[in-house]
Amino acid sequence: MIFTSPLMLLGLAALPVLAAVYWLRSRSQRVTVSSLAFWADQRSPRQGGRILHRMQTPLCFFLELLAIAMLVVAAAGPVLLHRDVVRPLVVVLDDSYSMSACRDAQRRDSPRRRAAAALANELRRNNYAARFIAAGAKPSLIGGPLREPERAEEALAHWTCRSPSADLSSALALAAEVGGREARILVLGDRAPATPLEGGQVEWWAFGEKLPNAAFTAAARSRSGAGQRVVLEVTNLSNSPRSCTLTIESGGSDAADKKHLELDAGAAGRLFLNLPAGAPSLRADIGDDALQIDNRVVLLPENEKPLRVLVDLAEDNLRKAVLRALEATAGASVVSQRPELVVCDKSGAIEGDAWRLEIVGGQDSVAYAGPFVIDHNHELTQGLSLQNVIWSAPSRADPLGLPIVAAGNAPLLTETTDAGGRRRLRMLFAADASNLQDMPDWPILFDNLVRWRRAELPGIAAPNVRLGQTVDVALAVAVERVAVVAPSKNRRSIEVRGRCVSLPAEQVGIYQIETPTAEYQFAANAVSRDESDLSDCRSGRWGNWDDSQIYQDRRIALRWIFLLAAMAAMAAHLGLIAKRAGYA
Amino acid sequence: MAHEIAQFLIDGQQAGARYALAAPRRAPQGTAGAQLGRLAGESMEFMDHREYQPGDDLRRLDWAAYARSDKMIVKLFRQEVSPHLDVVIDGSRSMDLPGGGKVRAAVGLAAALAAAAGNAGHTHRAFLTGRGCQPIVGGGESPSLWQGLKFDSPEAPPDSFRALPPAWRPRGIRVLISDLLWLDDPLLLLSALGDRAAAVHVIQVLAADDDAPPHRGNVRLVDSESDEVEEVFLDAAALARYRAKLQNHRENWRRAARQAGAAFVPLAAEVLCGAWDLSPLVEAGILTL
Repeated sequence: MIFTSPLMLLGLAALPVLAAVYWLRSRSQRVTVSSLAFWADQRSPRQGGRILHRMQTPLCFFLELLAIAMLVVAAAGPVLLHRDVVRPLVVVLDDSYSMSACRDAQRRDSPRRRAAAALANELRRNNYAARFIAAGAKPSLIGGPLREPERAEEALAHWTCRSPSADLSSALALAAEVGGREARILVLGDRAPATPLEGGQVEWWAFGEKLPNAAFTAAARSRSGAGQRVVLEVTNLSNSPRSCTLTIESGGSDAADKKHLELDAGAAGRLFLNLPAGAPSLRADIGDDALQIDNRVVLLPENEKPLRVLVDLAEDNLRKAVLRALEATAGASVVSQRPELVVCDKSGAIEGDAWRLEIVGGQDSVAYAGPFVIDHNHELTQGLSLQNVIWSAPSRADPLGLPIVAAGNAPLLTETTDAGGRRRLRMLFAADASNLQDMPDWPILFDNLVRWRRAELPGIAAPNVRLGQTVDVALAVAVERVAVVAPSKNRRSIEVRGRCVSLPAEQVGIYQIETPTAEYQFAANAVSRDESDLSDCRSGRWGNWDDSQIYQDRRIALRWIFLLAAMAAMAAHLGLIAKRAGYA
Repeated sequence: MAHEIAQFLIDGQQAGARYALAAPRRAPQGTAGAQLGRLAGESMEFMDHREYQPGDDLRRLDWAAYARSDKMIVKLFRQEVSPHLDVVIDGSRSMDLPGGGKVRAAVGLAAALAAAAGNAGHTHRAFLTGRGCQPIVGGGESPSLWQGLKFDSPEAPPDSFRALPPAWRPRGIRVLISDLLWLDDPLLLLSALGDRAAAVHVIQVLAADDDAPPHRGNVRLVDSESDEVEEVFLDAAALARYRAKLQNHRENWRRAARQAGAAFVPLAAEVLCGAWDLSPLVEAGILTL
């Protein structure tokens, strides 16, 4: 049985008040008399016992107590739930890592623990068929419907709270889709809902706590000249200044370098390090606090090997323009042998694993000033606008493959892929009648090309990623499965599709991908300022399923029973009083 | 308390100074005495003849008169009275209830009687009930010299009389001052009082609260002497029953006193102490002006 207006139960405080009134009214006065002989046959107290100070409890008292209690319970709106009806429940679990923040050193009071305990209690109290959705960067279902409350913790084992963000809106949409109109939706998180909950279908329980925290909010490692450059940013996410000791360890070195940062409230401190070429992995630590996951980062060396590009262009102006663009990318080196990318002005067979960019020109070209149709989902067009560009293309040249850039129905840049995964790009471009090579779009186009090609080279293009980011690994040889060793040392085997492996970085630390011929590594770090900022965490409950008309039909209102009982008690009381008055 | 009692004694003595103890009007019980009473008695001084009545002492038959008149005539002699007053004061706790005036009335009354006895040429002696009837220190002297009056005895006067009767003088006038609030047969105590006494007077002193209890509602009654507890609900009907019982008890005493030849005078303590008007005792023939 539950109450629709539980605050009305405060009226039960009237019960001790009534008892006090009776006690004060019926307690005996002590009188010393000369002799009891003349009082012996007097009536005993009609409202009391024979012991002083014992509360006098006549039948009237109990009837009044009963009447008050029944009226209060009726006012509280008691309803009985159908116990035999299994109520669908979808639980949205905030899977972001702020749910693991703890105040104590033993790390036993995280919001995740408190939420799990509250959920287990709720599942024990009601007959639910529960489903769980982990709300990380992308919501995902955890297991199937659960009806046994004792298995709740087992089902919640997948609730790891390691995501760098929680897309609760998408999770709620998924929950509504999974549960349907009649399912209750329960959100377990550490922050208040962003918008008021309406409709009564959603209850939002937050178990967060506003705690000070210092965190890495940025960590990057990149090539810089002959060496590498490291940027570390530490932010003091609290209301008071604090000092942080930054411990930096370079792989293979026993001596740790310590840096002290004095940070004002809410301020960030940045540290720039220059590492020599070939420097191993770098680990940085700022010590433990409320949130552990954001207190250390690992940065692996970036791939220093430039892309080998062979430029085979007869037209001198075009050749110079291409070389300038390649130089601007800082990721390519012009070679004459074993190229990984060939930029040429004639068609030909692809040699080795090299990609080909064929720039096809001619005398009878047509100049296009736009508008250009650009496939913005293509890797080559990231940041490409072609504003004020005049693009001349030979009118008789044959386009090849799918268009990437077109002017009307005239393809200007196309792409094909052969059975070996090698790509051939054909660019219809007459440099002498165009201004594209003089526009910013020209180096952008080649930078995209170089990046794309580098990403398709065997190995990992970006060895340092944010937690939750998906990492693509291009394999040198075609295999069916590879072994992945997570930072937790958990090994698993995943399937390979097209010599490429994609896996999300779900844990902080170093992942290792093992193939028969090579091993690849990448590091994942929790560097999300929004998630590390615990200042807006709070506890509370929002929404009430009882407000929803959807669930009212499944209840039996008991108010009338208590009202009848109260009326019966009052009638009995009245009768008793009348009887006593007549007796007197 | 001793100071207050001394004041009560003085008040009573001053009140009794205006009165004299009256000679007994009832038939004397003694056989010898130094002072003649007003009534026929057992002294050697002839007073009158009268016809024989059953119960008369056959030794008093005047055989000469029988021979002359063929009637049974007995001789009457002057009553023989000892000029002495024995006053017994109830020393039980019930006399000293909080807020009550029974102690003042009883002590003052005893002092008044002692003073009146002195005015009548009687000696006097005072007793206080407790563990037996103990003579009051200085009880034969002026009331202002009486010492050791304490009203803390858990025993009612009948028990005190049984434990240790007063060593009183034969053919004297005996007065009991008490609230009489116990349920024993009054005749038992009256017979002990009247044994070889010239006269017996019983003066009942009740406080206003005894006569009309002011309490209402749930009351926990505590017996002042036995400490027994009784919880009762007092309303008008209950108080009426109490007063009826008390009145019945008083009538029992009055009847028993009449039967024993004793005088019974009920007094309200607060009324008596207000003006020390002893006219009820005069009306009862205990005192004379």
